[in-house]
This record gives sequence, C-alpha cells and structure tokens, in this order.
Amino acid sequence: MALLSNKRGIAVTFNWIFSIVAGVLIFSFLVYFAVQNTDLFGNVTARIVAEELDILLSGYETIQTKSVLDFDKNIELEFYCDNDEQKFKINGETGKTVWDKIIFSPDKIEGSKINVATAPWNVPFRAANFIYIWDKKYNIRDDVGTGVELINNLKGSGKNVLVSQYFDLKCNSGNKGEKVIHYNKDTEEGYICFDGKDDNNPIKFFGEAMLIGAVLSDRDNFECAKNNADEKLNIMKKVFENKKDNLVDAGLCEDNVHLYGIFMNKMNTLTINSINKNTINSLDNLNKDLIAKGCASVY
Amino acid sequence: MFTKTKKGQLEIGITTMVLAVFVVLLLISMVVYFRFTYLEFEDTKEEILDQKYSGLLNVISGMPEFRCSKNGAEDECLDASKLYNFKQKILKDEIEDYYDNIFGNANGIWIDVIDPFSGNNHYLNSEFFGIYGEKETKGLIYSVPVSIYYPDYKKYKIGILKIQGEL
Amino acid sequence: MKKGQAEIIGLVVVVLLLVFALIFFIKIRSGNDDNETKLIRANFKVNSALNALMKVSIGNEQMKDLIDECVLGFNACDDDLKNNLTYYFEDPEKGLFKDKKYQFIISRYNDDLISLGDGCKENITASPFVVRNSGKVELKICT
Repeated sequence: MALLSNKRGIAVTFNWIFSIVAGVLIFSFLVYFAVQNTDLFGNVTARIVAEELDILLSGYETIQTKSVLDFDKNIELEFYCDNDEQKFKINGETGKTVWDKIIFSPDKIEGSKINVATAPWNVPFRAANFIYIWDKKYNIRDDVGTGVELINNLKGSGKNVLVSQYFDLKCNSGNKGEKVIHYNKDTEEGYICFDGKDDNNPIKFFGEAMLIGAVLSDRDNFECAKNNADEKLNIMKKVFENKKDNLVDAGLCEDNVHLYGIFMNKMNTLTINSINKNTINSLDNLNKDLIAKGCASVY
Repeated sequence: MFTKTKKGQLEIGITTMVLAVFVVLLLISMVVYFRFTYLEFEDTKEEILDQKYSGLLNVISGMPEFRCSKNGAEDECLDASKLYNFKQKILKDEIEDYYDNIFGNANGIWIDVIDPFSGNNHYLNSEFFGIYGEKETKGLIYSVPVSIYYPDYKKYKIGILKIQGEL
Repeated sequence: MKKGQAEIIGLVVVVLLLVFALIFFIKIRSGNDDNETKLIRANFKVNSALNALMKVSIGNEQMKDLIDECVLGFNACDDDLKNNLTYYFEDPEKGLFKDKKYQFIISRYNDDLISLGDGCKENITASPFVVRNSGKVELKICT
C-alpha cells in the first residue's frame, strides 16, 4: 500500500515538472519570436532608416530646398569623419558612409524633427550642392552683416558663434574656446577659428555655402566636408577638361579655339585654398568672351 | 504487478508520443517562421534597391557633372559635350572608386538619344552616352526621358536615361 | 497525465495559430506604405517627359515655339506639329509612350487644339505648361 501511494505521488510530481518545463520552454520561445518580430531594440529599424535617409539625402543633393524631416519618434543622428569619409549613425547603429553627399552638421542631432536645407557651392560654376542638417539654433553675432537668409534662420538661443571681419588668417577676436568665423562679404573668402581667440590652426574656406557650413559644424566634420568638396572640385575640373576637348574636336569654333586653352589654364589654378573673387571673375570673363565670339561657353 | 508494468510502459509511450508531436509542430513552425522572415528581408532589400535606382535617376539628372548651362545659368537639361566620353576619360583610378560608391549596385547607366544629329564621329552625333558600367547587361531597367543640349548647335534632343541593375 | 498532455498540446496549437495570425497581420499592414513613393517617382517621370518634349528642337525652332504658334492661331496646329508629337509619343521603336497609355492636350481657353492618346480613368499628370497666358499643354500617363 505504501509502495503504491509513493508511485502515485511520483507520477503526480513528474506531471507537474513536465508541465512547468514545457511551459517555460514555450514561454521563452514566444518571447524570442516577439523580440525578433517587433524589433524591440530597433536594430533592424535603424538600418532601414539609415538606408532610407541616405536615399532621401541623395534627393536633396541636386535641388535647392529647405524642409523638416519628421521621424515620429526621437532618434539620435551622429555625424563623424573616418579616414576622410563622412559617416552617420542612427541610434548608435554602426556607421553608414555618406559617399557622394557633402553634409555640414553638428556631431550629434537628437529629436523627432530635424531640419534639412541645401545650397549650391559656386566657384563660379556649381561644383556641388551642400546639405545642411541641424536641430538647434545658434546664438549668432553677425558683425559682418552677411545677409545670408539661412544664417538668419539659424539665429536663436544656443551655442555662441561670432562672425567677424577677415583678418589675414589671424584669430584675434572673440573668446577663447568659442567659434569665430572671419569672413569677407565682398570676396567671399573666410576662415574659421574653431578654438576662438589664439587658435593656431584656422581653416580657410570660400563661398557663402561654406560659410553656412562653418556655423553648423565642428572642426573635424568641417574639414571632412571641405576635403570632399575639394575632391568634387577636382572632378569638375576634369569634367570641364573633357567638355573642352569635345567642343574643340567638334571644330565649330576653329578661329577662337585658343580661348578654350586660356580658360582651362585659368581653371587649373583653382584649388580649394586658393579660390578667390579675382579668379572667379577671370573665369567669368573668359566664359563670356567665348560666347561673344560665337563659341559654346565652357559653363 | 504485471498490469502495473504494462500501464507504466503505456504511459511512457504516450508521453513520448506527446513530446514527439510537440517537437514536430515546433520544427514545422520554425521552418515556416524563418522562411517568412527571410522573404520579408528580401522584400525590404528589393524595396530599398528599387527606391535607390529610381532616386538615382533623379540624382543623375541634377548632377553638375552632366547638367547643362548657358553662361553660368543652369537649365533643366543634360549637356551632351559633358556626357560624351565621360566613362572613358573621367572614370579612372580613384575617381572610378568615387562613382562606384555613388552608383553602387547598378550594372550600367547610359542615355539613348532619340534621332541624334548625323555627321562625323564626335559628341554631336553619338547615338548614346555611356555613363557607367555596360549597356544592356543584366537586371531591370529604370528609365526617364531627359532633354539633351548640344552647346555648339544650341539645340536640344530627347534622350532616355537608363539605369540597369539587379535587385 | 493524459489530461495534462492534452492540455499542453492544445496550448501549443493555440499559441502557434496566434503567432501565425499575428505575423500575417503585420505583413498585410506594412504592405501599403509604398504607394506615396511610387506616385512621386511616376510624377518625376511624367514631368521630365513633358520638359524634354517642350525643349526638343524641330529644325531651327523648339517644340514649345511651334506650340506657341499653334496657340496664337497662326495656322500652326497642322499636320506637321501633330506628326512630330505623335512620332515622339508613339513611334514603335523610339516613342516615349509606345508601351503606355497617355493623353496629351494643347488647349486654348478650354478649347482643345490638339489631343493625342486616349483618355484615362486614373493618371499621373505633369504640371501643365502654360503658353502665352491663354494656352495650356497637359500630359497625363495612365496608371
């Protein structure tokens, strides 16, 4: 009798153990499926958003626009430079390289809405479109009176940025540690003292489009974008060299074909650190000369 | 005693069968689930590539490397004198890598000209302009009509910008 | 034991059915988000087509100049203009819409001067090209 009741007891206990083990197994299985399908930690979503943002930014690359991207939920966008390549991360996910776009932005952008704008970089032909991305405003003191609309849109309360007169690459204005942009409105030449007064390593730039980028970016991101702009400028020089060759081969401007040579010699002196208004005006005049002589213009 | 042994064996047998059925059901559902997830990822990849190629049509139309202009003022057209020999003369060395990254998975990008000008062999008479890769290889073709400007003649033709790529 | 086993099997079956149902539900719900992007792409194509057509050179003039003359009433809405347009739209080898249904209308004050293609119920329309304040050029691709 005692033996019988022990065996019955064992049967009941085994039943419970089996039920609990099976239950735990099923429950863990379901939790695993739920996590996989709902993307609780956002890994898959971040990757897809990165790809789609890249495609979206490609669309902005060749138009001039200003708009707001609404993600419906808070995201963290991080822009950084890696071996001269601009990359971005979404929510800390592994970086995606921004191959062909030139983006000026702060290192980190957080929020559900981000601002995007574009502007052409003309030297004097359009070499590239710059894309600007930002979330916050800046406390901009514009002593030069740049009159750039996008810079006026960036004014508000935030990080201090001083726009001061061009002083031969000397960082002698503002406070130590605060960004100072020195800019000549007439020649469109400028340089940035990222560390403010006494910065020993100012970075030169040219054009209104880069001035806007100077307000938004830190040193690393600005240098990265500037190097990419330089790469694009060199490509455009080759494009115009090819165009000139094709126009010369077509032979419809035989009497004035030497003008193309003069133009290209001038264009080949263009480098990102030496662009100035005089070179731009020379190229403009040479281009107009070609048109006046009945030839196709280079740009 | 004999009956109890048989009963026990029967119970073990039933339990084993239950476990076997459970495992079979589990395996079937896992196969279906992973197949489903794989198809979903393939769909997402296809959708992203589809968007990328279609977006690329828009991007190429606006690239300063191909865009037409008259005395600095850009217009909604592509410049034949920039397009001609672009692939042969520009896509070399590190610049080829640069465009590899932009054009990505595309097997070929080119523009077919509708009724090109007749004449000698230079940019004015080209029937098509190769931009990247090879013409008519593998994959779907995404296309859009574009206006092509010939600066020497100051005239326009219609071209079809085509991107061919696999999803 | 038997009752417990039966209950566990029942639980597994119910849960599996719920999981499948959820997966299919999510799949169906997320399948409808791409209509807007397809519309944007189709819009870009039809606008590009109209832009290219307006600019194309016919002799020493551009198509838009010929259409200008048609709208102004200089007897230019003749066979030549129509033939050129039909060629660019419908030529079996090179036509822009040789495989697609389209509608192209040149009108002046709501009177159709030239109408090519068949009408469509649903279409993507390019931004109309306005000619001399009184004329309009419309291009639609049927979807």
